[in-house]
Amino acid sequence: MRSRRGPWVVFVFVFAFLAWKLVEYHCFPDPRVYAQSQRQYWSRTPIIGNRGYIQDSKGNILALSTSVSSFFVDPKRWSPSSASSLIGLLPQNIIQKISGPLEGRYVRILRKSAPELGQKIIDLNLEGLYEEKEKKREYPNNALLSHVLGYCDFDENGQAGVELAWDSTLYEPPGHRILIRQTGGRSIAIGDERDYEKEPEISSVTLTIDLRIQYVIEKYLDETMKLHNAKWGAVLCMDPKTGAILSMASWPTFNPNNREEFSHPEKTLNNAVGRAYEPGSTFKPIFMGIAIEDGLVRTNETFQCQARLKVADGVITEAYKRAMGTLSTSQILIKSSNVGMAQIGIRSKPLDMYRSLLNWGFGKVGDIELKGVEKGLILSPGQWRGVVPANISIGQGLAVTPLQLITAMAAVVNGGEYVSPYIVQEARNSSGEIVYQGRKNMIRELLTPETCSWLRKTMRDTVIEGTGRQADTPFTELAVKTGTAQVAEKGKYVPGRYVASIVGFWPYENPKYLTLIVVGEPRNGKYYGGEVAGPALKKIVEGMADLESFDNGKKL
Amino acid sequence: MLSESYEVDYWDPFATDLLGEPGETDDFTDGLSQDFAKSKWSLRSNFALWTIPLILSCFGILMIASLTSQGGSGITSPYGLPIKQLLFLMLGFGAMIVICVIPLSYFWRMSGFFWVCSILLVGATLISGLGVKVGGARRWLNLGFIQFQPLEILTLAVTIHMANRLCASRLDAKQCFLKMSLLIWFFSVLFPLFQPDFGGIILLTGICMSMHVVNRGWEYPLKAAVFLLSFFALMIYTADYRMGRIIAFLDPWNDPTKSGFQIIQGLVAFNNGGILGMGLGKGLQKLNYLPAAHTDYIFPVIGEEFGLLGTIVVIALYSFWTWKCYQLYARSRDQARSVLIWGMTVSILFPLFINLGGVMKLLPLSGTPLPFVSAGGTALVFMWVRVGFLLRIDKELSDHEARYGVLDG
Repeated sequence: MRSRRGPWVVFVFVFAFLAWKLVEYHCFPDPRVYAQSQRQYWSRTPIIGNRGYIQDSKGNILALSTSVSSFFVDPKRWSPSSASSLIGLLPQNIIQKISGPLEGRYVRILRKSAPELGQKIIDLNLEGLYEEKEKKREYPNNALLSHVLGYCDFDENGQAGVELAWDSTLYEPPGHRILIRQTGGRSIAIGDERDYEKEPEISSVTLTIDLRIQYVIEKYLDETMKLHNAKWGAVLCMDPKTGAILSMASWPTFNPNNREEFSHPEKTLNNAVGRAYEPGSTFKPIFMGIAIEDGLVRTNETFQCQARLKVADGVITEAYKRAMGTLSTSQILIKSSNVGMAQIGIRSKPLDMYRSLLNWGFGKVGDIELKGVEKGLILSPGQWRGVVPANISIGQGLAVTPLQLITAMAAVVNGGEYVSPYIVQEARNSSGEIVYQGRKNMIRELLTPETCSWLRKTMRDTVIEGTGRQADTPFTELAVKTGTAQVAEKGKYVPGRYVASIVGFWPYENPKYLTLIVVGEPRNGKYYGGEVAGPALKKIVEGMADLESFDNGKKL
Repeated sequence: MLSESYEVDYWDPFATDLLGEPGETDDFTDGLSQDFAKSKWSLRSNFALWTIPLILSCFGILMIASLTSQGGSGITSPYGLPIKQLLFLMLGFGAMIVICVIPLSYFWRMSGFFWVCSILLVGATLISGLGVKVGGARRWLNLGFIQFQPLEILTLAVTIHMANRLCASRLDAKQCFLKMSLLIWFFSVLFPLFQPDFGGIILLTGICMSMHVVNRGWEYPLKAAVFLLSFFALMIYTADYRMGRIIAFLDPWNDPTKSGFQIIQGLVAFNNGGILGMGLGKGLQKLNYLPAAHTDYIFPVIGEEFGLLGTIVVIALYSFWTWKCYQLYARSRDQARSVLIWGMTVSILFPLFINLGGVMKLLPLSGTPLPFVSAGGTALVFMWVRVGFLLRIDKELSDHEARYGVLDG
């Protein structure tokens, strides 16, 4: 019998059929297979953006975002029995929650854990418990400069201060990362891992603030506030020639790293820009400057100053309730005579004076690069009746913010130029391009240099012989104007509630620093600007002189 | 009856061993023939018969290494599996050499004994303590020092025994089918039925029936097929997971995440590969998408990483090897060797077709490894044993031709 060959022929057909099917599967697949292949591997996972950092003018980091671990459990893979191994690491209520049955695929158990805690949880290597990388905003200097910096919410969106005002620059939209998905739910990154670990260029905001000056100022502000049991306080330090804010402090302070403090508005309020108060006598040089420029008063006039002066429907009294006798124009400022100022004030024409005050930046929101800036209050010219002009001349009956006052004072100090204040020196976007640069911005000329030097002289004399003697320091030639304002409540001045303030610049000949200290409602007996804010200014000036001599020493 | 008398002219070395029935088909036998009938046969003579499986095996190890180095399903140590596979390949190659040097007449004599023993081994898997239950089926036998699937032995033993019986039987086609082939088949599938091992039963059935066909013609197996189909339908119906596989086979898109998942993912792998493939180790499907990527689903992985080019080359290797087997078959001048060649060939090709049919959505899935390529110890060794038998037949044919010359034109 010859061997049968028939059965072997079957193999020819089988192999041919297989080859034909292979061509089909490889080259002409079922559209459903193709669609499945297109969608099943890739998953786009959001990666939280790397929010930009904030630094001071010397490059000290003030705010930055760091990677932290968050944890969640996937109930599909999580066995509640392993919850017991997390006891001590997580709060009891969370442990209880994940010990029972859960729903869904994502149950968050811990957000933004501390690194050590996070590592402990990772080391447990529990099935169904996953780590998630998130960013956490950190403020390395804690409460220092907190009001300027502001804070962010949990998702890195700015909520206050520079964080809010510069959110569009600092905020980095979440990116996407393409991952290969495994069926188990795990994902592995594709491409070079190092691509992701390399720190991308991130945006930044550089402030004009000098952190060391800020430190000195906050230190003495805090000391003064506690010494006088004051309710609120603010200090501003400015370069009078350029308008650059060197320091901005507010009291009470908060720690932006502690989210619980954000619910106390009195703590988070930035008094330096967000609070309007009646400035009192610190306003007098400004009013005097306007009066001189408008020809309402001459510098060689003399005024008879009683203890009180009846003006229309009101009475202006001297702060020390004593008659000061005959005072020259400059002595009115040096001795801070209310009655003398009132006599000048009643000469003013309401509309002109109102316009001048607007030109000086009062009653308007200043164009500083911050949020939460108050505009203060000036009565409209129609309301300037009776005692109002006299009141305004002594800095009562109008509300200004510390920022407005120091900006106006800068014009007095720098030779009459009204410069726009700025706190941001430079802002870069995440491509490294400079999107904003803060520089001196002269808006208008307000005073002639002669008036300025006369006003500066009176302020210098205030330190030597006037109300600012307690601020005098041997370190530098300081020039100041003190202020003691009454606080009105429901239209009436309340006895015992004052705002003590002092504004000073130094060195006298070539002013480099202009500082305003406002102490709101000191409650330990003393309340005059000279005795409350004066010593604080002295300490600040001396502290800053220390810094300067340190700098100079380093240069040598 | 020209062909009958024609065949009688040929020497049949098995004839003396044909259980006391000498002379009828063979009147030319002497015990001396083997002493001087030596050819210059060596492994090089018909090297394609074993080099092709060797290429496939090495390729398999490469693929297993590619799969496991990136952590496929349930694999812990990166190179443990390919090294294990290499050891089994060496073991299999050694077994092939051993089979090569043992005269076929020995196995011919012992075929009944081996067959009964292997059936008992399969039966032993059903005894708790010896049998290991994996995934709902008792297919593994644990003898303490070694674990293996005795069905592999049974498929080999039944091939030899079937060939033996078919040649020995003097019954006509119908009687032979009913009294002999069907009986051997029945006893062979009896225990796998209880394991249960659906793929194994199909394989045993295929081997038994095809051997009958090649020896006695199509008629009765075809008639039996009608009966068998109803039998398989019952089997499928009785087990949910088999039913699921059938449903998944009919329309995998009906349930793409569960029962249809494997099939779809296999097809996705082919699609991903395209013509030239994604490159070795760059496939995506092995990232847990293909369950058992290193065993049953190794072919789609090849398809993904080497594309149409790779799969066609693999198919071409198998076809070429089949062609070499056919050449051997064509050279054979006696029934016994012919049937044995056929049996050995189909017992390698049937698993191949079952595997490829499964992953290519042509057959319901049955969990059969790809011969030579898939990871798996027992299967690989026994595939190589079959190659050994083919080589032995080749050697004996060469010896015969050396003595008597090639008479076939």
